Amino acid sequence: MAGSGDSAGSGHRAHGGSRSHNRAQPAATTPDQPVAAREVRPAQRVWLQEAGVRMFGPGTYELLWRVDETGSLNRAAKDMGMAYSKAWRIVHEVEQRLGVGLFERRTGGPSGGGSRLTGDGRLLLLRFEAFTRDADHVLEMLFEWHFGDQPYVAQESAPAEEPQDCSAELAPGGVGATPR
Amino acid sequence: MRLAYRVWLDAGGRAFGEGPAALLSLVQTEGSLSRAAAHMGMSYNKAWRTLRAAEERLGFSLLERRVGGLRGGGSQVSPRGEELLRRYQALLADVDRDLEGLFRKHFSDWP
Repeated sequence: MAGSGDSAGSGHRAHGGSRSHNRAQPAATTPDQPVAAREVRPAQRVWLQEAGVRMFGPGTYELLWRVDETGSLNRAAKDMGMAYSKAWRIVHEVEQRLGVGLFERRTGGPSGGGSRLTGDGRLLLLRFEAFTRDADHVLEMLFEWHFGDQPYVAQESAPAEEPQDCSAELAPGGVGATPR
Repeated sequence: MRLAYRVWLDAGGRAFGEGPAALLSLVQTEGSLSRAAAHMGMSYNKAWRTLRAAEERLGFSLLERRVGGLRGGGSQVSPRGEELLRRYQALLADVDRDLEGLFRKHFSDWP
């Protein structure tokens, strides 16, 4: 592995028969030091599932918005590089499992109609959006809590505008002190 | 309707998530990567590559080779690997609690 895999083995084989029970040999070639540590960030993906099936996630969310935007499932599927039949199945599955209609067809009009989200469909998307926003925020905070002191985590960047005026406030007898 | 989610650590790509965490945890109890892999129904080769990829992204070793002994050694989790695993598991437990709460907040009255 990084240092302990292929290369490290040879060094230890020398100790081969030494029965070093308690001296379990670490791959000493890799000192326990950060080695050009990269910045580690948290990431997550959330889905809604029904009856054990993930039926709504970031991909579905995007597809449905695109249908609403373009008015066409065919167009939205194409834009996402997805087969029409697959896109149709996704929409159908969500409608079935949630028991709501997601799209209504508008006909005529100057724009020539097309598929538009129903009220329920729009609500579902807005809720998913709000939920993922909250979830991302929570993950950031929890990550900072659990990993913030680790060397491979970028320290919170110092505020870009270092408070210049505040120095006076913080200094003893600064703002609080009344002018004599 | 229920919530499903995955949480992982990213370092220029997926670096450490539930798969590597489960492997490390099994290495701790099993004392070898091959037994850990077997427990997960995974080939040794795949397990090795999984952890290797994680190490490369993270920039430090997760496993150390233990040599000698009657059974000819095995693997153990490196101190930094243990630390990472412990923190990841704690993070996951908190995420689980908070996300469930958020999910109820946003979807309990759905539809």
